[in-house]
Amino acid sequence: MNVRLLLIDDDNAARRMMRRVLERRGYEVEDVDNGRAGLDRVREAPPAGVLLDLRMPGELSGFDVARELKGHPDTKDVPVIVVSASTHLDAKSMVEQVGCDAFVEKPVDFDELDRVLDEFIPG
Amino acid sequence: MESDARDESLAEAGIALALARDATDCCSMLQKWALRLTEAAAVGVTYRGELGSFVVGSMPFDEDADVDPHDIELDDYPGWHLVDIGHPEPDDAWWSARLWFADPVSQDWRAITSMLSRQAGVGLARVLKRSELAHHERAQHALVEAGKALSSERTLDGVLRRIVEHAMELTGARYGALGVLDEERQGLAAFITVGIDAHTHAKIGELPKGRGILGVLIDDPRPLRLRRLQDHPRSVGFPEHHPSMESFLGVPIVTSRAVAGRIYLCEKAGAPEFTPEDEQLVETLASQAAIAIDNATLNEQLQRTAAELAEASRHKSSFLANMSHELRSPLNTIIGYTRLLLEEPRELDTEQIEDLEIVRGSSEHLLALITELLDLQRIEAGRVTLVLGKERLGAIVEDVVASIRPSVPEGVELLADASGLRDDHITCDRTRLRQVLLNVLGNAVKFTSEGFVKISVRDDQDRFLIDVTDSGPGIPAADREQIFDTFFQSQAALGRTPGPREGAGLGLAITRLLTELHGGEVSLESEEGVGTTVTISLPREASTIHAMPTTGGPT
Repeated sequence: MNVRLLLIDDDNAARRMMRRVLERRGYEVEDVDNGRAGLDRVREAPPAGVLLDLRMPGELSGFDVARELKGHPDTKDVPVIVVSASTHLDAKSMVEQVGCDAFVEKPVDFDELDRVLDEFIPG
Repeated sequence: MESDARDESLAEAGIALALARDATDCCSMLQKWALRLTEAAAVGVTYRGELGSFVVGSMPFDEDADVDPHDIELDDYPGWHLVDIGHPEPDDAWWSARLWFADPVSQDWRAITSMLSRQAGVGLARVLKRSELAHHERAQHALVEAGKALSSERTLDGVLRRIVEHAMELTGARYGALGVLDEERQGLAAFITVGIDAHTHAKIGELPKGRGILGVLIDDPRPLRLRRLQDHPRSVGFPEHHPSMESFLGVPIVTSRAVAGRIYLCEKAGAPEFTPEDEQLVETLASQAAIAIDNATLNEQLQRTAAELAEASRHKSSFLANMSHELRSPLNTIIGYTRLLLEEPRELDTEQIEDLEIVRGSSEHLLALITELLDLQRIEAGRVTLVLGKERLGAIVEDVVASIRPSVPEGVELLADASGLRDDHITCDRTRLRQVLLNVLGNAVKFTSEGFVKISVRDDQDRFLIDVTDSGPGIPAADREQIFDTFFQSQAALGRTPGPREGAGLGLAITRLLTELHGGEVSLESEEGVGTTVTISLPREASTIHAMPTTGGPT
């Protein structure tokens, strides 16, 4: 069975693009366009890893999702890779404090993405 | 009395009067000598002046009677004579004294009293001159003390209170107050009173700010002296429980812009009214109050401006951070899809691959520009703080060289030499120093199409010198001065660049700023057709003095 990743991003173009990138690398990809749906999905069926955008409108931002996932014993071990265009240090340190595993800047450098996936996604 | 003895006595009296200790001494001597020399039935002297009013000897009227001895009709007192004691310089006189006597016996009593009066006049003038000088000296001293005290007070209220206290001390006023007009000039922004105890104050309650004579007078630009405050046509009397006050001195506080308020003094001790000298002294203090008020206003404006600037700077930073996010998001898909297409080159013909490489190059140029702009703004706004640590310069150089190596074109040799150092320990911000070296080395590689690019490190006492030398086209002399300026790109050098144009001309400006944050310097030597050497001089110990304080915000 393929390794399944959950992609959470409100930007349709970015989501479509990442899905292609990840599928080409052999992952099974599920995607949602908001934080609430993403959080629910992880709780229902924990994936091998979450790729998470930070700035999302709606009930839960990426920060909120990360805080929920990492703050709960059932989901804290799911690797969370933040993929965001908020590249300032504040965002990076907040993400780190919440306990996310990696931060990949948008625009995504594929070599960097491959390195992070190798390191944090089991299988 | 024999005339010889009389002349002798007059001479003696003259000397004694001229040497009188004070006004009272002078007047009582005058009374005694007049009594003795005129053999009058009764002799008295009245005095009114700065130091108060008094009577010596006998008067034709009851002392307690409501009679002003200096405003009297002599016809009402038969047998009595009156001589005004002359001031030697009448224009200077603001005191007056009179010699009264009844039924003189001596034949030449007129000459005697006239002569004694003249001598007493000299004595009084001298005494008063001396007391004026002493007072002047005291006033000078007090003003200096007031100035010192004022500079030690922090708040405007504190300063103004000290000014009132000093004004009271200098003039002998029992009560003092200071009112400051508010910005609309309708009411009072502050009203400070001294002399009325807290208990009485509580009983009086809120003072009628802006009403009554205090309010009427507050923005009048003229000083005002009154013997009886209640006599002023605009007086509405005192509120209940307010102590009664008669003598009054009000001096305006005039700032650089307008009348800002007034100092009020009431009840001069030992005198019926305040003197012109009091007025002068208080005017000096009022000008200090004006300066204090001006300063406080200016200070308030400065603080407001500073707060507005900080706010504007925060807005600018947050705007730029948002902008960066908004620009990066579409670039993510442009660069991503380009990479996706290029990952499957079999599906594309050669020309398409070349086209896509141009899209990729241009997008990455745009990304570099966005990153550099934000970086530069943050450094210039002082939002970059160095995170200092103990590092090995050799290791940082090696790391930078390894990062640059893949982009070195064929036919160019990349050399590194950090071996000559006796000790390569350095205190620096590793990330920022890496950024500096990547910029300089990257630049050298970008402009060099054949030959070599070399980075070497030398000791220079308590500094390191890092040279980045290339065999590139060199920089025209005209451009060398500006090469580290924001947005500057040498057109001559660019024209000869083989690869796509990268960066926005901000890299070297950032390099210079980051080096300076470390307490270092960047310099450049270049010869056209031979090459360029950029030298970075860095202290072994970058101190936090060079690291600008951060105010938080997007980083």
